[in-house]
Amino acid sequence: MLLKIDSVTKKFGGLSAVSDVSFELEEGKILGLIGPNGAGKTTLFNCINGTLPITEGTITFNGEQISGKKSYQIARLGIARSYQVTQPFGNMTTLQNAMVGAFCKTKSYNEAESIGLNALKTVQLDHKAEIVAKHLNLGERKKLEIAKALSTQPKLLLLDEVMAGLTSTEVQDMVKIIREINATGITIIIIEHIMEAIMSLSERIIVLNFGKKIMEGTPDEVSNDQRVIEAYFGVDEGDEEYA
Amino acid sequence: MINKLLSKNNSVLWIIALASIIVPFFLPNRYFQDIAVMTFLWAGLACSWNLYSGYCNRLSIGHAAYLGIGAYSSTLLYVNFGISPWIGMLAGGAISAVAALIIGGTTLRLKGTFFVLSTIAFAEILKVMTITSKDITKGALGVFIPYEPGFSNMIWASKIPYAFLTWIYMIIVLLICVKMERSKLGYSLIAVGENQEAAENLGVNSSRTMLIAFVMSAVLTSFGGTIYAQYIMFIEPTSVMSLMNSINFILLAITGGMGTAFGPMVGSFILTPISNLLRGYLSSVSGLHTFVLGLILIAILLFRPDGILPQLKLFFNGLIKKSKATKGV
Amino acid sequence: MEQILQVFISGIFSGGVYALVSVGLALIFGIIGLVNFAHGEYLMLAMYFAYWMYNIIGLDPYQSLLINLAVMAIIGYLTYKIIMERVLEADHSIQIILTLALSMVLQNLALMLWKADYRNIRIDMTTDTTHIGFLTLSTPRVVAFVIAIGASVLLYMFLQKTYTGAAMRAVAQNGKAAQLMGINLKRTYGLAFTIGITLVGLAGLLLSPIYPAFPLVGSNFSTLAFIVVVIGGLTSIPGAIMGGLLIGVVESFAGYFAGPAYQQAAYFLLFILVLIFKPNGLFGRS
Repeated sequence: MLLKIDSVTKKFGGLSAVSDVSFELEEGKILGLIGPNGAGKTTLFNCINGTLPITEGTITFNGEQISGKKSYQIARLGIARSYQVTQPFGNMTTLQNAMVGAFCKTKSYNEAESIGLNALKTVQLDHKAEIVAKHLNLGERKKLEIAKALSTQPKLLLLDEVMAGLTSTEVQDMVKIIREINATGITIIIIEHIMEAIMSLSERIIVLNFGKKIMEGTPDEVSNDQRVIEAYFGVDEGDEEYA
Repeated sequence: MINKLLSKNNSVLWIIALASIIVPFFLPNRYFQDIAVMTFLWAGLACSWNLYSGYCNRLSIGHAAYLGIGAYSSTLLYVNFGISPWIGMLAGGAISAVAALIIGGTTLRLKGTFFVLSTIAFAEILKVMTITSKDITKGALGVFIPYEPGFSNMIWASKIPYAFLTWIYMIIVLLICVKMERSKLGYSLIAVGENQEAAENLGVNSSRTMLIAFVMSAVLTSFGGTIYAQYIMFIEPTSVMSLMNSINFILLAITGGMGTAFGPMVGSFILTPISNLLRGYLSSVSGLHTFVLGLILIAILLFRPDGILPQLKLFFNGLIKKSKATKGV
Repeated sequence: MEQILQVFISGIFSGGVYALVSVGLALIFGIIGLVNFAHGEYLMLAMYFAYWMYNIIGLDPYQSLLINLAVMAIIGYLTYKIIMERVLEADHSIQIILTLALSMVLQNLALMLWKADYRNIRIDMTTDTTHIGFLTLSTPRVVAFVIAIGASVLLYMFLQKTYTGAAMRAVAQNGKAAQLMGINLKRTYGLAFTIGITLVGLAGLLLSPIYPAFPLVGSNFSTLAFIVVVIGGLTSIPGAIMGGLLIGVVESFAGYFAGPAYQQAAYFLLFILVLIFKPNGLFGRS
C-alpha cells in the first residue's frame, strides 16, 4: 500500500470537516474523490499533505507515518498537490515556478532547470517557459499547478479540481495529460466535479458527504448507487461557478 | 513587483559595477571622492539588506542594528585591545549572526506589519542598550578611533584605498546575490515571499530558508558597519543606529528595484551622490535636502513602484539590439 | 506606597493621550488596512499650529481647539486624496515605505520652516496643579486625560451607534462585501483617515501646554502608537485605549525604577513579549 488513511478526523472548533474517513491506495492507481461542495474533499487533501494537522487517526505513506509532519517534509517524502484556486508565484516565470519544486530533490541549478522543463513538457506548457506566471490564462495556470507539483518528483499526486472552468477541449487535453502522468508510475488522487472526466480516469472512486465516506467502489458501482445519487447528483449541480 | 530573477541579462550592469572603480581616480578632490566612497559603501549595504528583505518581500526597518553591531564590535576591539579591524570585522559578523539568529528566530514567523514593527523594536532596544551600557560603549558620547594609518588598522590618509575597500565590499555582496539568484536558496526565498504556503507544499522549509537569508543579510550588513566606522572614525549610537539609517537601506533598494541583485546598487549610484550633493548645496537651509529626498522617494513609490532598474534594463536592451542591428548591416 | 501610587497615576494620565494618538492609528489601520508611519507627524503639525495660534493671535490651545481640529481634518483629507488613495491596492511594503517617506518630508518641512528649536506654550495653566487626596497632578495633564479618554470613547460610540459608524465597521470586516451592499469604499476610507488624523491632532493640541513642539516630536509618538495598537489587538478601539493606558504605566514605572533612558526600551520589550506570546494582542480576540 502506498497510502493508508486510518479513521482520520479533522475538526474545526466543534465542526467535523472530515470525520472517521479510512481508505487505502495501491501504487500506480488513480483514485477519484467526489462529493458535493463542502463535503470535506479539499480538507482531506490538506490533511494528507500536512497543511492542516489532523484531529484524530493516522496517515501512513510508503510505510511511514506522516500525520504530524510538516507540509514541506511530506512534500520531500513524495506527496505533491495542486490547488483548486491556482497559487502561482506570480512574479516568477513559468519555468522558475516549476524549478522551485525541482529544488526539492536536487541542489544543482542545471538539474533543477531540466527537471522543471520536463515537468512543463509533460503538461504541454514548455512553450510558455519564459512567461511571467501572472500573465497566464486559467487553463495554463491549472497546467502550471500540475507542473509545479510534478517537478517535486512525487510518488503521489493530489489534484484538486484541475479541470474546473476549462473548455471541453481543454478538459480532454487535461484527461490525456493525467493519463500520461499516471503511466510514468505516479499514483494520483483526483478531486473533480466533471463526472465524465473522473469516471473515465479513476479505477475506484470514494464519495464523501458531510465529511463522511458514504461509498467506495468502481465508477459503475458509484454512479448506480442510490445513496450517491441522493447525496451528490440530487443536491448539487451548479458547481461550475466555483472555478 | 517585478520578476526578480532577471539576472540572465546582467552583463551591462556587471560592466557598470566593475568599471565604477575608475570614477574616484577622476574626481577632482576629497569632497567628491568621499561621495564615491559613500556611494560604494551604501550600494553594498543596500544590496545586503536586499538579500533578505528584497527577495523575500518582507521589510526590515531595523538593519541599522547590524550596521551598529559591526561598527561597535570592531571599534571597541580596536580601541580597547588593539585588535585589527580586519579581525574585528569578522567578530562583528559573528555577533551579528548570533543576534540575527535570535531576532530572526523569534520574529520571522510574524506576518507582514508585525514583522516590520518587530524589526524597528529590536533596533531601538539595541540602540538604548548601547546608550545605557556606558562602561562598554561610552554611551551617547560615542567612540573616537585614533588616527594611525596603516593597512592592518584599516585606516588610510587618502580616500582612494577606502574607495577600493568599499568597492570590493560592494562587488562581493553583488557576487553573493547573483550566485544566490541561481540557487536553491534564492528560488526558495523568492517563492516564500510570493506565497509561503504554496512554497511549503513544494518542499520548501520556509522558516529555515528565511532564517539563513536573514542571517546572511545581517552579517554582510555588519561587515559594512565595520568599514563605515573605520572610514568615519567616530561612532555614536544615535547616528549609526538611527531609524533614518534603517530607512536609507530601503530608500536605495526601492529606488533601484527591490529584490533584484543590481537594483540597490543602481539606487545607491543615483541617490547617494544626489543626496550628498544636495546636502552640500542646500546646507544653508537645514532639512531641505532630506525633504527633497523624501519627495523623490514619494514620487518613485507613486509612479515607479518597481524602481528604476526595469526601465534601465529596457533601455540597455534597446541599445544592445540597436548596436547588433547596425553591425548586421 | 504613596510614591508608587503617584507613579501609577501619573502613568495612567500620560497613557490617556497615548490612547488618543493610538485610537486614530487603529482606526486607519482597521478600516483602510494602511500602516501610517507618518501618524506622529500630524501630532507635530497640530502642536506647531497651536503654538502659532498662541503666539500670533493670542489664543491658547483650548481656545483655538475648534480651528485647529478643522485645519487638521482638512490636512488629513488632503493627504488621503493626494497620496493614500493612490496606494490602496498596492503591496503593503510600498504603503509602509510611502508613509515613512511622508514622515521624512513632514519632519524636514517643519525643520525648514520652524528650525529645530523647542517651542513652548506657557499659559497660566501650565504650572497649575490639581490635588486629589494626597496626589498632586498638573492641571493640563488632567484636562488632557479627560478630553483624550472622552474623545476616544466618543469615537467608539460613533462606530457602534451610528449608521456611518456601522458602515465603517462593515468596511473594516470585509471591504468588498460592504461595497456590494452599497457602501462607498473610497469615501469611507477618506472619512476614516480624516477622523484618525483629526484625533491625533487633538492629542497634539492637548499636549501643547505641557510638551514642547519640535520637528522630531512626532516620531516617538508614531512608534509608541504602533506598539499600543499591536498590544491592543491592532484594529480594536477599546484595545487601543487600554493599550495606551498600559504603556503609560509601564513607561512611568520604568522611568521611576530604572531611569528615563529605559522608558522606551521597556515598552519595546513589552511589545516584543506580546508579539511572541500573544500575537493577537493582549486585548484582542483570537
